[in-house]
Amino acid sequence: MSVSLDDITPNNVGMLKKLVELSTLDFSSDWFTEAQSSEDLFKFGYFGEIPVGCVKAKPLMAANASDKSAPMGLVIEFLEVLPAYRGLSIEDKLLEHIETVLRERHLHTLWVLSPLEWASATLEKRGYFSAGDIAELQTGYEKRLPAWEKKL
Amino acid sequence: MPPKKRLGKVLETNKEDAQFREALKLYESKQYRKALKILDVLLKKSPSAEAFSLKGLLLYNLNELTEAESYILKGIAKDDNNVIVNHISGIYYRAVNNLKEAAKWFSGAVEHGSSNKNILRDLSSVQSQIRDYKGLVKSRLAYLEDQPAYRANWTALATAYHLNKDHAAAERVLTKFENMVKGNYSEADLYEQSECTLYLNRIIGETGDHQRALDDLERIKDWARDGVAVLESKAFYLTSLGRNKEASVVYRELLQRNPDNQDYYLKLEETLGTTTKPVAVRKALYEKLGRFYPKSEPVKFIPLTFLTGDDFKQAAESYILSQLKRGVPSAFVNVKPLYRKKANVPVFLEIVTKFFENEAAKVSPLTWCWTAYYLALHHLHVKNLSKALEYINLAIDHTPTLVELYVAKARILKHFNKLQEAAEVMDSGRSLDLQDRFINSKATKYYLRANLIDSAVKTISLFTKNDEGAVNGIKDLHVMQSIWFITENGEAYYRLFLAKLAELEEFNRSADADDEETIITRNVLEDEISEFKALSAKRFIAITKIYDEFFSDQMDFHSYCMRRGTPRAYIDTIKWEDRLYGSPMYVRAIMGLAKIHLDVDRDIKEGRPFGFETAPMLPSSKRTKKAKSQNAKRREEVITKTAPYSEDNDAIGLNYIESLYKDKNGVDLLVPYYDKIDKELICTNLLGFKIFQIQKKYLVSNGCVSKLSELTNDKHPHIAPLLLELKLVATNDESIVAPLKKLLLLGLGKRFPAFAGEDESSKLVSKVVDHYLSRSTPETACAITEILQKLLEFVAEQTKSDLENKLEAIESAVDPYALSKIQAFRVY
Repeated sequence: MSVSLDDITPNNVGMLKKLVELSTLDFSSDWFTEAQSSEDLFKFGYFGEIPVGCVKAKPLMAANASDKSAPMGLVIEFLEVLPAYRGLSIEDKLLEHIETVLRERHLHTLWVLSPLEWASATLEKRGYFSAGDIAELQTGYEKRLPAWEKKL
Repeated sequence: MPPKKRLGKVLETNKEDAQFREALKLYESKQYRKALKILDVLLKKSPSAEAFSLKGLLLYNLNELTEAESYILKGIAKDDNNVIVNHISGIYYRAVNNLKEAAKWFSGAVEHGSSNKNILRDLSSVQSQIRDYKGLVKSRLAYLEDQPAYRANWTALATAYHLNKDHAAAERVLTKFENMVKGNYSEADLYEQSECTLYLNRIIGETGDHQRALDDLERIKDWARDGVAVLESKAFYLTSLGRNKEASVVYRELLQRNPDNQDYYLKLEETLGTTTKPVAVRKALYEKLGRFYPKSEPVKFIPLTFLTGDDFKQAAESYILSQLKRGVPSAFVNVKPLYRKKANVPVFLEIVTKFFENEAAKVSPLTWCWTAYYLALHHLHVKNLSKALEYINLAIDHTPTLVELYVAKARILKHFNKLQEAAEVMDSGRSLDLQDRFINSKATKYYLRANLIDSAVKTISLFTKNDEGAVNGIKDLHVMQSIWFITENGEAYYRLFLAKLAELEEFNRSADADDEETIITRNVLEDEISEFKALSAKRFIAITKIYDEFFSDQMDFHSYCMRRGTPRAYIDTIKWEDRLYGSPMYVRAIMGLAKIHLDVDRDIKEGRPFGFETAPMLPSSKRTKKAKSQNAKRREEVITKTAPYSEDNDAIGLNYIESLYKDKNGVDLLVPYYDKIDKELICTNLLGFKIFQIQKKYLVSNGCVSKLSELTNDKHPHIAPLLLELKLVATNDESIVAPLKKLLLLGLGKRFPAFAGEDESSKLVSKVVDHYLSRSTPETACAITEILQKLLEFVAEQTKSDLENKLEAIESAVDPYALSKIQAFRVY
């Protein structure tokens, strides 16, 4: 069965809601609206014709940044693949996509933010390392989440 | 130029003649008001028949319908030989869809010598529409004589002969034209030529002279453009001539063109004679065919229908597992036909369960999921509902983003009769993919089944064109002829009507005194009951209108198909239209409408008026005034929400229902609908029986029972209560005369010998019960309910308790959803 990526639309945002529901995270309704306009910073991962995972990233600004067009890097706020479909390279494809976007935007640092025990092997394999909790990353979350970091 | 032949009375003077012509011209350019002004002046001076008729037609176009007909009739009364009067009357009656009258006046115009040959065209369209094929032949012939240079007119005459079952004449006409043209076709004409010659071939084939048809096919096969039709006809003729070997070659040729047509394989087998040979021969045949067409589906499926034992198991395994491994969603639906053979069911279960437990997950997670889905549907099919639910929940926990799983889960819940929960599950599936029209419709339907009409309308309205000012898609659904929605909507209103009726009864029981609040609440309840009943009828009538539209839609094709040169498709259309009113959805709507009419009839008989007018009037106080205005506002809201047409002065349908009560007649209006529907259906005859019993046409209702018996091999459980009802009438009804009574009993005895004997009633009943009510089906349960509720005076104590036990046994065996249907069965 083939693995592929596809965009989010107002019509399949329900799929994202389902995936968030299954994770340990919780997002506001604004977050879902934002996800729909994320363009290349959001992708669904399809196994065959069924969406079974997704990734959502956003540019990360320094806390005291004056120039909004120069982010520090990208942060993946949400990465999820249904348990039964993990390890089938879907998470690889999703990460790879965001890494490509990072490169295209001439940025160098990518953080992954979420309690992703299940993905740690993949992240390590792809060259991410544990970065502890970084102050700039924590805005907007109730819990302080550990982050992974990768420098390109 | 020869003088025009006019039989009608010529207008008095030239001036008046000119005025009339001017009015006519204005009519043709659609300036109706101006035309009317001139006519009014003319009518004052000299009231001629023609002027009356034209005024009628003008008034019709100005939407003054009642006055219009009176002027048309005046014109006819004054001079019904006048060609103009005839012609105008034809146009008028065609416009009001009274086609019999239209045909009469159009042909009147022709007979009285109108020089206007276009009337013949109109006439033949109308005649085709009312299926007056004898008349059609004449008008088509007359038009052809006038305009022989067009192929369309020859084709038209041939179809007329064909429809009139005069095949020889049809053949003559088509051949004559072909001989006349002798191959002088332009490139553009070739398609029409191909269609017409294939049509000719079909006509020859229908005469039964298949040898001649085959020879004719040989002649045209090289340039006829519908290659499949040529080969299919050829194979058919060869088979019927007993030339099986040649036919088999043609079927093989057809298989090369389309190896996925199951029919070709079966016909090939017929011609090879393998169906009667040992299974091994057939198996070998399909193995060989499978090598030729490795991707063909029927090659793999058909052997499953005849293999048994280990062979079957092996073939079934390879068939079903290959689909599951590929993740084919319809895997279960594909093998469902094989479940009809009881022995196959455990085999499939074993194969799939084993695969599910040992292999599926290794293939891919999605395969595991689809296999669980298969097992859920399997258990749903064999009515093991809890097991089905278990499997579908496993699948949903595994892949909660797969929409199909929610559809299946909702279905399972429906069979648990948890309708609201089912609707909610369906809707949660819908929320995953909002652009999926299928699941949107499904969610709508499930909401309707749960009587949650507002949610249903809200859901479906996401996919309708909601014009400005429209609060929802109801109007668009009527314009788009969404039959399924309108029918389900009508049925939901009917269920709500019954529920509210029960609520009112309960309310009346529990209300202590007729104080102000009680009366107010009761009034609202009563209004709602009337509204639901009316809305239900309104929806069902909307369905009949849609089907009438389907029927009148043919009108254009009577001439269009001739011009386009597609006589074969035209004949197919006509045949389809002839069966239109037997379509399941039409019949379903009529059955829904019939219930309402029968309810009204019962109300009338039992003295309950429309709208519960017997309720105590409200005293005039501040509180009641407020309540009244609130209720009126509520009614307004109902109208906005439910109105099906933009301009409709009976949006809810209350006037329609009220008129039934006023005319004191629930059933007579049903008869025209009953007349239209297919009499070869079981439900038609059940309905017919009820209608004719009420109308006291006992011999006709006896006829319905006979037909029912003929259709079901004298097995249908409902025959039991119907027979007993007839017997009851024949013995008890004082109003029928002795000879009729005798005739009735004689008729009963002829078909059902037990009635002719001198059996005591109780013995007779047990005979009837034994014969008709032996099977344990939901229908039997309904028939028993009818006997227990209506015909108890016939039934001995022992039989009664037997029947009650049987009913209980059936009710405990069916699933909760089927049980709810049995319990909702209404006896009339």
